[in-house]
Amino acid sequence: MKANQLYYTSCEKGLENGAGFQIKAKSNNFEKTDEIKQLGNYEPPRDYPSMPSQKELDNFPILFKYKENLFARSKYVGQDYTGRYGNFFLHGLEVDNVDIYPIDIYFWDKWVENENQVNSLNLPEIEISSIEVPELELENIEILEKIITILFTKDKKIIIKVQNQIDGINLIYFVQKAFAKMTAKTITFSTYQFTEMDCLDINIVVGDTEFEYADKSNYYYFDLTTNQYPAIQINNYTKLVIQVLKTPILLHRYHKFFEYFEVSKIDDNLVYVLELFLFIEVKYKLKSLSEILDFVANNAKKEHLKELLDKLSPMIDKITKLSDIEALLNFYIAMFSKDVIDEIYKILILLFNNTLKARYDFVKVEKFIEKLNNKNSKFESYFIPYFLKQIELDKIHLLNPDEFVLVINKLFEYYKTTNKDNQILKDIIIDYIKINKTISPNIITIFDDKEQLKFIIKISNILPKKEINEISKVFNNLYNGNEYYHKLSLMNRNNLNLYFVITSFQNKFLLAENKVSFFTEFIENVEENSEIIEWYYKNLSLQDKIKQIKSWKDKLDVLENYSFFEDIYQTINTNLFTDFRNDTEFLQLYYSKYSYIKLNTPNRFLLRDIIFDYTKLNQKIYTQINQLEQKEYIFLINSFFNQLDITSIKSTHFQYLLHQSYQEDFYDYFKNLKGRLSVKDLVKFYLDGMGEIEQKIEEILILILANQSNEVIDDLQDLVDTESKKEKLQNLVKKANKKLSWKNVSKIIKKSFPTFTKLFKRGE
Amino acid sequence: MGLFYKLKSNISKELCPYCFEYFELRDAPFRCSNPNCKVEPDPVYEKHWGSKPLKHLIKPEVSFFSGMKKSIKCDLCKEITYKKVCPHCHQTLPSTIGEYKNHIFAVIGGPDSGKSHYIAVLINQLMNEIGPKMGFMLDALDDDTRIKYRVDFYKPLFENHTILNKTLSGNTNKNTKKPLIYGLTILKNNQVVDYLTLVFFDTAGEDLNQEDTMAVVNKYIYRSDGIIMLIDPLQIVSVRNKLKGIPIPATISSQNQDILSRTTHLIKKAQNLKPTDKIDIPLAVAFTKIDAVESLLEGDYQLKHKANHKNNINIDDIEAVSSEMKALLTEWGEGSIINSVQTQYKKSKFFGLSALGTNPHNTKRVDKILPRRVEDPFLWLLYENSILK
Repeated sequence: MKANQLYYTSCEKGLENGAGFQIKAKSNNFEKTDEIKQLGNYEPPRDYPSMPSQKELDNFPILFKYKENLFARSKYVGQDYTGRYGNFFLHGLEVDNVDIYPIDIYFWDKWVENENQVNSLNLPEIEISSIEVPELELENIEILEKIITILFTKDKKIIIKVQNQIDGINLIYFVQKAFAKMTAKTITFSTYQFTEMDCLDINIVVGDTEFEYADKSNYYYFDLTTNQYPAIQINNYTKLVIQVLKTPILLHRYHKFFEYFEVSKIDDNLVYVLELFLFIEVKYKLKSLSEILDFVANNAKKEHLKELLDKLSPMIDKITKLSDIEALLNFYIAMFSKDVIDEIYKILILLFNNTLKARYDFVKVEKFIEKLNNKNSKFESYFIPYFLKQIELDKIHLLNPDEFVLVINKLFEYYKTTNKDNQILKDIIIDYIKINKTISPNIITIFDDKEQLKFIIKISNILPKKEINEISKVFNNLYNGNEYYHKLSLMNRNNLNLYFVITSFQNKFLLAENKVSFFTEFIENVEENSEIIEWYYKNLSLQDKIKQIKSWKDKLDVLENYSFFEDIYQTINTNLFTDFRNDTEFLQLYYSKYSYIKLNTPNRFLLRDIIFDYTKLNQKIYTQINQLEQKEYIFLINSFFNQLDITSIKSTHFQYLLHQSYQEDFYDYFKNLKGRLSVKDLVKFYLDGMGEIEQKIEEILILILANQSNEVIDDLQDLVDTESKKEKLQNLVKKANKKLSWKNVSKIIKKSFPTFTKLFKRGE
Repeated sequence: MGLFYKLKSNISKELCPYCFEYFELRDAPFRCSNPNCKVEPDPVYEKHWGSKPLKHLIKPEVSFFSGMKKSIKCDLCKEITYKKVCPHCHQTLPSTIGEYKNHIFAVIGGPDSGKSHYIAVLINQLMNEIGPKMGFMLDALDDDTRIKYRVDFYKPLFENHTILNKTLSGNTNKNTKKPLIYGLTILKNNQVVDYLTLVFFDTAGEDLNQEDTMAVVNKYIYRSDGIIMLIDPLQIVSVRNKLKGIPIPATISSQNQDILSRTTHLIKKAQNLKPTDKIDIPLAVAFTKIDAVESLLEGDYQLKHKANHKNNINIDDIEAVSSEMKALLTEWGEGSIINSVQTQYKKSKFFGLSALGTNPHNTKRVDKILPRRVEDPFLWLLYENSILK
């Protein structure tokens, strides 16, 4: 640091007119002569010796003031050339740029202290460097904290009254060191202040001065002689920097670190630098990294940016707060350059892995990538390989469906541009679906036309129907109009899987006949694959299912040639029950002549339930049954009556039979009936009224009841809901109680039911 | 407030005893005097006097019909304040401003001519000896004056018996530019018959070394009501030669004629006078340290006697001493000063005095202060200003 010099004292001859106080000597280029004279003006403490000896003179406080680019050092020399007291010797320095801690210059060893040391009236410009500062002890921390805090507002001047000037100098020294050079140089100070006029930021007062009479409320007045200090709320910067001051190595690093920033004034922003420094050095826990990084982005010196970023880089892993990670990424995006690309990758992965832990919104990651793509269009393609290496793939299933598709989409695009086999991605998708049983319908957009269909076929096995429908909607929406699919269908006739998938997905465009005809072709060519058929069947609409069944009916002969025919029927068994219970058309199909035989054979339970199980359908069933020919009806009953176990249905059926008065077939029917109705069922029919055959039935019942336990008899009471039924039952039980012998029973049976007798003989 | 006072305050202009600018009293702002009121920067004050923590400034609303306000309520703390400040330099004005006339007296002289000692002793004499004897009272009008006089003048000289430190240049020390302001109460038969404000300026000799500096630092000179120019006879070559063997300052200053010349130029320029015009500010040319040259005064000089001012100024004595001093000056080869003074000033007198009555040159101590004729120039100036008769 180069400085122009000036000496000012009361002398007989100097550079000004006459004798007395004047500039004794100076450098030619010293400009602010008036300012330095005012700055270095010295009045001795009033309580110091008025006529001091040479020894006493050394005890007078040294005035060392720093303001802007001026340094004034005045030493009281006592007498002037006339012998009058009150003389002092000012050695002033004017520098272009202060690049040393101003307080360090206090310890400069080239200060001139009296006229006798002056050899020339023209002073050279002088180089000030390598000042040896004695080791000072950090003390008076409470006061130091207050002073540092006050400097953030500077609303009042700081006056520090001390007994020993060195205590004040010590304070100024550590106050300055609490800041970096560029900010420390904004703190003006005086190591000895006599007058209230032109106080600097920090002023040391020794002895009796004007401050004895001053209104102390106008200042932050620290009286170290009486230990009275103003109450100050210590700010965050101060609290932290005190810790740094206590560790010289750390302090040195802090000052170096500060050089990375373009900061020239003391304000709240300083705490950002300090916190960031502590974060890097001692893993200080930050309250808000985003504010700090905003500050860094706006204030870091370009020439030091790389060093700063290098220091910041290892800290990325230490950041746990998502908002901080975001802030860091935004920061790096703002600083976007090849120097920070690795950090950006690292943070993106960090965010992504946090997404995997369900702590972060993936859409935000996407937006960051968008931002980065805006910075460099190739960003994403550079990033993906890194991403694939770093990402916790085993956790990718933790992404929500939309996030997953976004990620996969990007990976697909990358694979596509690099011509890599994307099978691994497909496997990832399948794994995802297997684990989550869902996926975003947009997944379809990842694939090209042919891939789309293949993919849907593939996932159709593992995705619920609803999900597949959603996917198919997206698929359909990708294209507009039927023609395309007709064309596509025709073009792909050789690929049956594809063919039927097209059919299924085009159900909203294609007429049912078309679908069925497609499927007919499929049936003729398809390989054995019940899984696909089941899936296919599931995806038909209700109407189309009916039509498909009709179509199958026509093709039964063909179908029976295939071993998977049974599978088809089993599938239908499982599904029809739910799907067709209200479907009249289906019922009609069933009851059309002979159709039920083949159709329902593998589906007896379904048929049974459709015919008998639903009260709502009873009337329809009656209608249908009434239209049946007697043989058909009997066949029906024979086929399915084994499974009849619901009383109301049985009852309905009895009613029907009695109503029809198929007397000639009654015994056949009854033959089948025996043992398949409970005693209770039989008695119920009887109590409800059996018409012309009631008497015969009664006889049979008497015989049956005669062999029943009392519990069974008691249980019959449930059937009584009218007085007439009660009487009828009582009579029946009464008759039964007569305990007819087996022979009598045989006779009755023989007489009334010859066929029955034969059965008995056979032991059935 | 009377109509007359109101009208007076509207039309009369006052002179700030600090910056020497004229101003209308009703324009004068007030400074809050509540110690708890807000401290705020005052750029105007700072420009003139340097920075200092100052309380809130309140500017009165002024219209033609509004007269001078004696007090105002602070718009921040709502406390009443009476502290008026100069509209130009924001220095606190004497409380008597506008009510009584200001009389500014400048004390000039080369370095080491004894200005500070003279003022220190003069004020003490006026307060404690001359005042009671002649029927007037001198009181410091503000704390600054009281403290400054006590700490910088009285204590070292009268209590510690040491000579005063050099006065620092007004260029480097703004305090130097601040005057000592006193109220002078004139009594007759123990009744107050008049009151006026006296403003004393001590000047660093260095500030008279250049006319430019004088114009800036010592504006009060051309606005003053009287000038006391002190000359140290020990700095006159012929006197020094005659005094060989007696301890005198080792160095010689031959600036007296220069200072007089600069002062004259400054006043003429400022008052727009022609070279042939005479200045009507009374000039008292006083030779200090007269005790040191007593050995050169052979015969019965009136100068050797005590002045005899009782009740009224003894103008005959003044005239006699002036004549003696002129004769001595001529004898000492400094007749040119007499010519300069008489040519340029309408009213002038020559005086001889000693503030300390002893030569402290070797010891720098003044064990006993025996002032001689220090009041003469001042009383004559009061006389010329029709304050004393």
